[in-house]
Amino acid sequence: MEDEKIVALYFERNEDAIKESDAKYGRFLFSIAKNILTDAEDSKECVNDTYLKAWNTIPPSRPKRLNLFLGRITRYTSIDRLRSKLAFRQSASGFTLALDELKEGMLLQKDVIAEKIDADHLSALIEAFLDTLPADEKNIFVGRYFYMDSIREIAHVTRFSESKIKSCLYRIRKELKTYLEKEGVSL
Amino acid sequence: MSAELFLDAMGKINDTYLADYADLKTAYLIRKRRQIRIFSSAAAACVGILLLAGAAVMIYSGQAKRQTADGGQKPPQGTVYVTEPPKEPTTPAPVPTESPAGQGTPLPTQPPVSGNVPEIHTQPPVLPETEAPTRETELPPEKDRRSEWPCFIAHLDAEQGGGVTSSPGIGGHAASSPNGSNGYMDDAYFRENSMWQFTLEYQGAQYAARSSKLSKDDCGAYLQDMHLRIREIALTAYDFHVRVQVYRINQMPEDAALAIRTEDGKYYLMVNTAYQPDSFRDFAEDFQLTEKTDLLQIAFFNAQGEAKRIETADDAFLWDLLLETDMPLINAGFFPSPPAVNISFSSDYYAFYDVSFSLYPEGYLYFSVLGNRLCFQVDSEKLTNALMEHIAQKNNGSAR
Repeated sequence: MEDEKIVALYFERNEDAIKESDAKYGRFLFSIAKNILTDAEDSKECVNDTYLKAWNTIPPSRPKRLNLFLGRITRYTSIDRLRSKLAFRQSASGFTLALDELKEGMLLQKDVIAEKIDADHLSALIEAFLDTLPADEKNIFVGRYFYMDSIREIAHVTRFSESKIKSCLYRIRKELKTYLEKEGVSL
Repeated sequence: MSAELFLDAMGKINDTYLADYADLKTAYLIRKRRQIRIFSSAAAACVGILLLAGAAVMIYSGQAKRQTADGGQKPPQGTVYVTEPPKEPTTPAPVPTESPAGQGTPLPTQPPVSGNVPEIHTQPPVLPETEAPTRETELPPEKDRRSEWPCFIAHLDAEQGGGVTSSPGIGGHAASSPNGSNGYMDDAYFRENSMWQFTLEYQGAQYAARSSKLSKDDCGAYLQDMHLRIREIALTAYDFHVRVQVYRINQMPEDAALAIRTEDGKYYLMVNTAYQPDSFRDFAEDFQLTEKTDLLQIAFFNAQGEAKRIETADDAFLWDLLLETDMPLINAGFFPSPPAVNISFSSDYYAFYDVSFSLYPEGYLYFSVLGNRLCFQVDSEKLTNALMEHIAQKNNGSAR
């Protein structure tokens, strides 16, 4: 079923909307949640929470791209769940591994520093930085730091070798660090 | 900057940065799921074949043992012979691996080895020596079916889900077609040569892939890079996009058809689904029908709908007739009468989809090419008579 029709079902308050969403994007959402939480049961619950939140949000929201909309909710929900559950303790999830990479001398020297910028501003800077990247590199970065996919998963998705993904991410992190410093963001 | 801030910031980036990867990932998940399904099907097929092979071996070894014990020859499979037991037990001789032709005695009563109801004979038929069953004739070696598996899997695929094949690096298609003798197209050929249900939006028009591969020589100037929208209908009905290069096709206007070059370097023809020529002559010229098609058959229908079919390759006269007077395009889609004449062509260029047109008594020439419905106004009677007269005079076709 097309996204528009599924969204229309949400607007009609038809519960088939959730069924159709799950049939179409269930695996996609589950993979996002699993990357962050690592636990299958938690991930399933997160995906279910996603549908509930979507049900409560549409209407009034009318997403154009349902996969992105739902994916974003899943990501938030999963991160929130991880924060509350593990309180940022180390676990071998894609989430924490991605953070470790960022900490390793590239972006995040310390976890807690007085925030001089807000997330919106930083987000705008990251977007501006992504605009400077070729499409492939942009995808790799988004795959790693938005969807929290593993290097191997990104390699499968993008059909590049794992070593290329690794070197590419290393380079992007370095460039991002330089870019943010140039923009006056203290790291 | 803290990790949380960075993650929050990442969470706020615009959808436009996420869309490409989300599409790639969805496509990957679909591919992965399909592979799992195909492997499952293949595994099931392997298990089935192994079981069958095992059963065959067991049956054969049982028969061989009996044959060895009796020293006789085995009757044809599925037939039971009732014979008297040997009067005197014989000393088992060294058993040859193959029974010499024409030697030995028939087997005693055997249980049927197949599901067929066996015939009961009181006497075994006397077989000529040359037809005496030998090991080879009794149990032909198991045919190696491995080469058939891909086709088998492809059929499963087509049946189960509307079909997704791995047209190189791309998605798939539903392979159901009336053209195939078994109700399906030759999947292997189709998957190699064609794409299906893929649409490309170019300058406001929608182009659909309905055709076989093009050669590079058919393609003209490069136009631009675009995303081909692929509809995954087997699992999720999800649209995803594949990057392609769009080219002109030599001697074909852009509003009729375009060529795309996929990532694997293959070229496909995409037809504008809203293509509307002014007249039949324009249509024939745009699609180079006279060069790209070969006449196959002309079928004349009488009032009762009975057909007389003429198979002829002489199409020059046909094109002369059709192009003699220009026929304007009209919007007609309903024909109260059955067609008077149906003419069909073969075409490697526009492969798979029938290239044919029908002449209706009401004065319509209805053309079906690549799924496009085009109807032209024509003097039907004149054209029909001219066709019949030509064939009668030249006698250049074989009627059926």
